[in-house]
Amino acid sequence: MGYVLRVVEKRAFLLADNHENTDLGSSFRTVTAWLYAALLVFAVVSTFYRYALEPFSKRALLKSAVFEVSPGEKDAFLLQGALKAYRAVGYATDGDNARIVNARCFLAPVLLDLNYSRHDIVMSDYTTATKDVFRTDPAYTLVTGFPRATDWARSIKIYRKVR
Amino acid sequence: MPPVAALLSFVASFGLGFLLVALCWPKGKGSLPETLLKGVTGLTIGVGATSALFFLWLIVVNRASRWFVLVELVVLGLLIVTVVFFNRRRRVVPQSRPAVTPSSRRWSILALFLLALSGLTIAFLILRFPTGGWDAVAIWNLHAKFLAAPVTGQWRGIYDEVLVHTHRDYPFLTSAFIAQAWVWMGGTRSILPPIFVSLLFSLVVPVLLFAALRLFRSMMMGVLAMGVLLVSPLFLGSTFLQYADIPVGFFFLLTTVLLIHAETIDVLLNTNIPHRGLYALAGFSAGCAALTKNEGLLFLLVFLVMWFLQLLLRRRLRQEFKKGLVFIAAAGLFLVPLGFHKAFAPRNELIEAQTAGTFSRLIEPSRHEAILTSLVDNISDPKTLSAVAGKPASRWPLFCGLLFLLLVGVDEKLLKKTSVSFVWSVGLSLCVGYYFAYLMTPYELKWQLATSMERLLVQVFPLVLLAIGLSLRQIEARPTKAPEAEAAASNTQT
Repeated sequence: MGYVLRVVEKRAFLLADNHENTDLGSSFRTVTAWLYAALLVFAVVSTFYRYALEPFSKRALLKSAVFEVSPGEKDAFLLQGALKAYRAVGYATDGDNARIVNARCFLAPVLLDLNYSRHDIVMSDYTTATKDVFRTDPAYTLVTGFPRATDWARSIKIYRKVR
Repeated sequence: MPPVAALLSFVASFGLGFLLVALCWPKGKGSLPETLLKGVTGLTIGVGATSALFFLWLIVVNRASRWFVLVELVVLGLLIVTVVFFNRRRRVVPQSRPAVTPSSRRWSILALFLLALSGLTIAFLILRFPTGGWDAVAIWNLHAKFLAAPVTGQWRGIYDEVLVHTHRDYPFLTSAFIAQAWVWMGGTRSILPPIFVSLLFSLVVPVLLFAALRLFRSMMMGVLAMGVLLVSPLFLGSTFLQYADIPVGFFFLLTTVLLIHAETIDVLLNTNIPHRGLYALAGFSAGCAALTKNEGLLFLLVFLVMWFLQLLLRRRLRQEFKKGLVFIAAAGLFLVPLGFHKAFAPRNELIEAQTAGTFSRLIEPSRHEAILTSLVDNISDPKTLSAVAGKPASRWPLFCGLLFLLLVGVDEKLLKKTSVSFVWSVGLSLCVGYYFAYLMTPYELKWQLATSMERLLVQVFPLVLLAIGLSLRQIEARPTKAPEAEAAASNTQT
């Protein structure tokens, strides 16, 4: 560490004509600071343009996520369309496969909701029967297990509240 | 009116924090950066105090209800009475730290501009991803949902075996704060509280870094360090995730800044008044760090060890003993609810999984290589921002920053100063701790590195920027008065 610092120190000395108490070295550092501040202003403005001004509508919900678009994701869009009729959707997961679950998470229009009884319709991706509370809840009935899905939604089940 | 209720809950929390600051901070009018420091301390200690109070309330009453609002108001009232009573008897001290350099209006405007525009960028990013990242949904906000559950005993669901994937032992500062806001609002459907917490901590980190460097070095240094943080894809990529990494990184920085402030204020003003309240606030902040993430416990340990070593080397252990006790007692107040939480939760997976095979993992060269490669990759090209926001992040500010460091250079005299070497030692020791955690992890290393390295870097990044800012050579061209001379001048004026 000391060696690295000495090298940096030496380089700074050579580049900056950086005699400790002279105006020359100090002025050089001030000019460098101003230049760097100007670059930072440009960076902040460009970051604002890049990440804030982009219209929300241009962003696809799932395609911008970290993983490749799999054939199963088409089902996700189908699912999304089908569920639009409902005002709120509960969503429960056991999170066994982070990549797949991540996609499902962004699909869910509400935060993970343990108080599922408030919802008319609930998506569940519990892969084991013991964890799947909706199976045993008489208030809910299975709508579909998404048999058409090949990858993405292979274990998702949709339950509807019995009226 | 749930949004109004949420707003009132935030105001009550901040009130709690500001009252604690009023009680502990040396009495008197401070300079602008000192006022900023007081402000961010009040805001965030308030968040921590509210979380701790809410958790203790849950342990006692066993269910979340709006009676908590009354409890919080009673605590607020008691604190107001205490502050009024004690502040009458306290002496006013000329606590204002003298400015090292003449303040520059242009640099102040630049600081405001950078903060305002970056604040907008962060706000837009948060609004684009209102539910945050996966860990926010499956860990932090899920825990908050349980803590805010209105059914008796349901809050203990966070320790249930079913939620084995949600890291049941994770501390609860952000979750409990979100939960208490939901309790004020009367429902857990609103995403306002998690969004607010995310925005708050994303903004107070750069403000604190600026205030600290403005206080300890110069306006220029403060603006530049804040600018580097605000354009860093590493930092921006974590602002909208609603994870606890930015809050815990903030508390690392706040604890360190408050300790340096407390250690140096006596020397600067030569008042011989021990500012033990500042040590108490630093302790509160360290306790908040431990209450936010498990890494905060590591930080608390590292911080205490480094402080002890520093005092030992300076042969000032006996003189500083009481200050250390104040710090530990203050941190301990926050460690009490954390102790209950850890007692209820299963043991941490990292600790639980350590066996005889740990040593073989420690000496495996491929693991060292993987960690170092991932470290370089994540520093030079953080992935989250570009992957999630869909556009590649600029890397040129980082390279320009390195060139800037090379041109300005570090000051060896400053590096030898106790406060500067202390910040470096804490930051580097934390990194060493993380390094060993990776070596010992029971999970697949590649997966662990890919999912957490960037977030760990975000935690230490502000602390490293503070250390760099404290170590660089003086930038300002104009010769300035010695701090003591300025202090004497300002005292004469007042």
